[in-house]
Amino acid sequence: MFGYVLRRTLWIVPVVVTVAAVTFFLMYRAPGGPWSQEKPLPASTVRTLNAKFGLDKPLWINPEAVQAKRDDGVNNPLTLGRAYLDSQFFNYMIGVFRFDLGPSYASKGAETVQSVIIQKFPVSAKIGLVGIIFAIVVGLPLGVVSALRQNTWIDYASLFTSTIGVSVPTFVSGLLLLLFLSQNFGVSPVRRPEAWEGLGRAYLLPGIVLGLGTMSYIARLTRASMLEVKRQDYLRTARAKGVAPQGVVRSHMLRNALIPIITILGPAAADLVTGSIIIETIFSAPGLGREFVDSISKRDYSMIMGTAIFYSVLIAIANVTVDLSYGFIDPRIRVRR
Amino acid sequence: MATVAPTAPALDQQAEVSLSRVRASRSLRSDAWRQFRRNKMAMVGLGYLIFLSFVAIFAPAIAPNNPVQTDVRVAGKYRQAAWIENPNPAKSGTWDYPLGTDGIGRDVFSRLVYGTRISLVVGFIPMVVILLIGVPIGLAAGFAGGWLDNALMRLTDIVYAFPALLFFIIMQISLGDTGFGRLLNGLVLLFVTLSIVNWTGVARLVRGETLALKEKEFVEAARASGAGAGRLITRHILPNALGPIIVAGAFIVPGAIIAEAVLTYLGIGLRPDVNLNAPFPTSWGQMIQDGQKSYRNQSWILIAPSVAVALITLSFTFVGDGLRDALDPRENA
Amino acid sequence: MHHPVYPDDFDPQKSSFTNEIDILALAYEGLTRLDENQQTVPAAAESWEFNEEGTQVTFHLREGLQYSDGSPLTAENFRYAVERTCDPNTAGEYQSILFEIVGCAEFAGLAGEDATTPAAFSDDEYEAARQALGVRAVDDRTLEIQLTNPAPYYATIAYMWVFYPVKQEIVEKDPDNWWKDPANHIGNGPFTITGIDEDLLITFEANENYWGGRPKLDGIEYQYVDDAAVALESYRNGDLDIVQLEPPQIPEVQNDPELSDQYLAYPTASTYNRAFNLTQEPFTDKKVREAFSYAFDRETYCAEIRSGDCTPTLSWVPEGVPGSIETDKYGFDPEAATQALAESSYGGPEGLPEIRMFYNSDLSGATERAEWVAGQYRDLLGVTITLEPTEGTTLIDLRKSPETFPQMLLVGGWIQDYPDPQNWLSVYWKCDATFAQRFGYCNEEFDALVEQGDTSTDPEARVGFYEQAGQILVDDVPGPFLYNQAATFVVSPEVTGYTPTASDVEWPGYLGTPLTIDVNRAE
Repeated sequence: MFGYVLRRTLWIVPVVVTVAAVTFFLMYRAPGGPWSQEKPLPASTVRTLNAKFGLDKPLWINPEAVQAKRDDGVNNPLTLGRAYLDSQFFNYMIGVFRFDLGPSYASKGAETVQSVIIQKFPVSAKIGLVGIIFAIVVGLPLGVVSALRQNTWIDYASLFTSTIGVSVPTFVSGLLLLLFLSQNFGVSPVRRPEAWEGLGRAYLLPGIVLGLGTMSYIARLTRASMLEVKRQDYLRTARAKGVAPQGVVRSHMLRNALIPIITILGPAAADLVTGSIIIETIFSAPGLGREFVDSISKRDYSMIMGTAIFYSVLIAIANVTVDLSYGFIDPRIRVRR
Repeated sequence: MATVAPTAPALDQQAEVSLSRVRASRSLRSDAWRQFRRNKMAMVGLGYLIFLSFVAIFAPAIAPNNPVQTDVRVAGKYRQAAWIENPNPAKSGTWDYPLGTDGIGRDVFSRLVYGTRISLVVGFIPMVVILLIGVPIGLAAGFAGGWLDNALMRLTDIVYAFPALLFFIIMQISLGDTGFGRLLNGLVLLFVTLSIVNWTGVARLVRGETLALKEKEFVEAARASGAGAGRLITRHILPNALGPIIVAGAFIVPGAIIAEAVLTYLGIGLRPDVNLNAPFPTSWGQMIQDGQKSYRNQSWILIAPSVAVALITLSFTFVGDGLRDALDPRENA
Repeated sequence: MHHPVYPDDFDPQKSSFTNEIDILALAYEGLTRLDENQQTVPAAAESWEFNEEGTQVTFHLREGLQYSDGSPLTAENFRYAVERTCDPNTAGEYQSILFEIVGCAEFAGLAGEDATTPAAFSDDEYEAARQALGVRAVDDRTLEIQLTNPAPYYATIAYMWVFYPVKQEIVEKDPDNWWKDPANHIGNGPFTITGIDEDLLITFEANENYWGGRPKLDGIEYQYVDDAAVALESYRNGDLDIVQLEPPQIPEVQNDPELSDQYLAYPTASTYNRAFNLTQEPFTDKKVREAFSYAFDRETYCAEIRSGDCTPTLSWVPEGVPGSIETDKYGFDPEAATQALAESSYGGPEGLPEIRMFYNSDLSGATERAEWVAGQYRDLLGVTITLEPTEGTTLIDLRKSPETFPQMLLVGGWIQDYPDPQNWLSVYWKCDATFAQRFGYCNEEFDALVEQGDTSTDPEARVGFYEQAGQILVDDVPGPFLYNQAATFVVSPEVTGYTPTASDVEWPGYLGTPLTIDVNRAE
C-alpha cells in the first residue's frame, strides 16, 4: 500500500513536466509576447526587458551556449550539460523544482508568480470549497431520494432542478441571482474587500452558483447508479435474506452508488477550485481564476506556466486521493500493484 | 449431471444468473426497441430530437427572416417579442419578428432556428467521440488491470491534469488562425478540444464501474462458466455500467453547448459568418452570451436560447434513461 | 467610482493605460496640467519659457511646493523623474515620449537594437549616458530641459505622468515594487493614495499640502467591478456614484425614467478609422478605399449600433484640438460608393480579391458590430467579407509590420497623449512614424507640412500647417475616418462641481476639476 501511494505520488512529477511542456509549446505558438502593446516599445527597451527576464534565451535547448563554453575551454560535462539546458523552458522548470515560479511579466517583475498564487488562490479555493460542499450536500440526497421514489413528482422535480443547473451557464445564473437578490433584498452586488477575508457570507452565492452544475451531475449520477444497484441480483438476494429495507439502502445501495460519485468528485473538486474564472468576474472576487485568464491575454508567460503547473499538481493530487479512496468505499476493489 | 451436487448453493445462484444472461442476449435488440417504445418520456425526448434535426436541416424554410441580414431602421434594435407592447413603434412587438430583434436588428427567432444547427452538432458529435474513446479505454483498463490499466490511467492522469479552460483558451489562441482552426468556422477545432478534454472523465468513470463490477458475483459466475473476456465485457460489465455512462453522455451535450457559450464569453468562440446563405451563422451559446448583456433591453434574446438548451438537455436525459432501461438485461428477462 | 479593469501597475514612469493614469493623476502632478478646456496651464511650474530656437525649455517652479508628507518638492525631483523615465533599467512604456530630450534616446537605447550583440552594458557606459542627459536642476525652483529639435509642444508634454515627481529615495529602495504600498505614494497631487486592495479598491484622501488648496472632497474610492451589469446594479443600489457604461447598457439607461437623467456622455479625444493595409490588394487602389468610405453609414452606426456612444467624423484631428478641420468629403453615399468601386481597377465587387476584416474579439459586443459593418458592405457594395475575430494581443502582434498587418481592421485609431496636433499628425502619419510604417502610409507633402508645424514657434502659423496636413489625410483616404469615441457614464445627481474634458476617459473631471468635484449626500 505504501509503495503504491509513493509510486502514484512520484508519478505527479512526469505529469507536471508534460503539462508544462505542452503549455509552453502552445503558449509560444500564440502570437505576440509579454511586451506587445498598442504603442510599441522601442526595440532597445524590449531587448533590456528580454535580457532582464531571460527571454532572450532559446526556447528549448541552447547548443550555442555549449559551443561558447567549449570555446572558453570548459570541458566539464556537468557545466556543458547545464549550458545545453540554459533555455527558457529548462530554466523555468529548474526554478519550479526549487519552488520558484518566476516573476510576473505583466507587473514587470514587481511580483513573483508564487506570491500572486499565495495571495489569490485562497479566494478561488474558498469559492470552490463552498461549491463542492453545496454540490454534495444537495446533490447526493436529491439523487438518493429521486432513485427511491423513481417516477414520482420528487423524481421529476429533481430532474427539473438538475436540468436547469446544467444547462444555464454560470455567467447567466450568477448574474441573474445577483441582480435578483440586489433588487428584492437589497443585498449589495459588490462586496467590500474585507468581505473576502476569512470565510464569510460573501462566498455563499458565488459558491452555490459555481456548484450548481456539479450538484446536478452528482444528483443524476447518484440516481442512475442507485437504480443500477437496486436492480442487481445481490440486492435481491439481500432482500430475500430478510434484511430490512432501510438497511438495504444504507449498506448496499449507497455504498455501491458512491463509486461513480467518488470518481467524479476528485476532478470535480479540482474543476470547481480551478474553474471559477467567470464566477470571479461576475462577483468581483479577487481570485486566481481571473488572474489566470488575464495572464494568457497578456502573454505573461511565467504566470501562465506557474498557474498551469499549480493547477495540474492540484488535480493530480485529487486524482490520487480518489484512486486511494476506492479501496475504503468498497474493500473488494483492492489495490494490487 | 453428477458434478452438480457438491456446490449446490453456489451453483444455484450461478445458474440463475447465467440463464438470465443467455435469455437477454438472445433477444437483446428487438426487446430493447420494444422496451424503449414503452417509455413515454424517452419517446417524447426522441421525438423532440428528431424535430430539432428537421429544424436544423430545413432552417432556411422555417426561419421567417434571414438570420444575418438586417435593416436596423426597419427591424428596430432590441424590438420586443411579438406579444409585448411598447410605446416606441420601433420597439413594439410584431409577428414579423416573433421573438423580437437583437442589438443590430436581426430576427431572434430566425437566429434561434439557425442556431439549432451548430448546437445540435456541437452537442452531439463530441458526445459520440468522447464515448467512443472513453468507454473502451475505461473498460479495457478496468477489466484487464495490471500494466494496461496502469499505462492507460497514467495517460489519463496527464490529460486530466490540464486545467480544462486553460487548454481551451490556449488551443483557440494558438491554433485558431491555422487552416485547421478555420475549418467550418472553427467547429472542428472546438470538437477536437472538447473531446480531448472530456474523454478522460468518461474513461475513469467506466474504469471505476468496471473495477467494481468485475468483482461482483454474477461476473465471477459468468467467468467461472467459461465466458471469454470480450463476452464478459459486452454482455455483463458494459450493460451494468450503462447507467452512469448514459448520465455522463447526456451531460456532455449541454456541457459542450455551454462550453461554446463560455468561450464566446471569453472572446474566443466560433468565427461569425455574414454570408447571406451562411450555413452556420450563429449558435445558441453565442445567443445566450449576447442575451446576457442585453437582457434588460430585450429579455428574449436570453430566454429563448436558454430554454432551447434546457429542452435539448432534457431530451437527451430522457432518451438516455430510456436507453438504459431498454438495454438493461434484467428488465427484459 | 466604478472602474472595470484593475491596472497592472501604476508607477508614473512605467504606466501607459488610462486606468493607471487616472490613479496617478490624483496623487501626483506634472510641471503643467490640462484645464477643463484642455489648455496647458501652470501646475507645479508657475511659468516656463523657450529659448529662441525652441530647443530649450526652462520651467520655474512655485515657491514652497510640498509633498503630501510636508517635505519640500524641488526641481531635482522632476529631474529625477525624467532621468528615471529614460533609464534603460526602468524600461517604461512611455519612454519614447521623451526621446526629444537630448541624450534620452541614447540612454534608453544603451542595450542596442542589434539583436546579435549581447544586451549588456557596463557601469561606465551607463553612468556616461546618464550624465549626458539634457535635463538639469539649475536651482531648487528651476528646471532646464535641452531638446534635440524645436518642440513648442513641450510645455504640454510636461503635464504627462512621466513627469510626476516620485521620490527617489523611496523608489530606489524597491524600484519594481514600491508603488504597491500606499505608504510609498508620497505625491504632490490634490489627493493621496491611502489604501490599495488589489483587484478591488483604491482609496484616496485629500492632500492638505497641495499648492492649490485642499480639494472639496475628503476622499475618493475607485471600486473595480469587471461586469458592467453588476456595476450598474450597484449604482442603482446606491453603492457607486459614477459608473462607466457599455454600449448595450445605454438603451437600458435611457429607457429608465430615473436613470435617463443621470446619463452623461461626452466626446473623448480619440478618433477611430477603418484601417487598411495600404501595401495589400485591393486597398492599394484609392478608389476602393473611397468606396469603403462612401459605403459606411456613420450616423446609423453611432446612433443605433453603438447606441450613441460616438460622434461621426470624416477627419482625423478631433474637434477641440488645434488643427482640426470640418469636411464632408467621402461621407455616406451608397451610389457614390458603387460608382467608386466600378471606377476602380477591379471594375466592381466581382473583381475584388477576398477581403478579411479583423477585429478584437476581446471587446464586449465587437462581434455584433463587425457583423453589422460587414453586412453593410455586403448589402451596399456587394462585397462579401470574411470576419476574423482575433484575440487582442494577437491582433497587436499582427499589426507590427506591413507584412502581417491585417488587410482591413474593423477599427484602428488613436487616443491622444497630449492635446497638440503634433501628437495627432506627426506621431501617427509621418512616413517615418512607427504607426504609418505598419500599414504603409507615406506622403511627402504631408511630411513637409507637419515638419513646418512641429518646428514653428508661432502658434497660429502652426495651426495653419496642421490644418493643411489634415486635409491631405482626408483627400488620401488612407483609412476612412469614422467617429470620435464618447465616454458614457451614469453619474449620481449628488455629484457636483465637475467639468469633463475630452481627455477624461475613466471618469468625468479627473484631469480638469479634481479640486472642485463634490458630493452632497442626501440625508
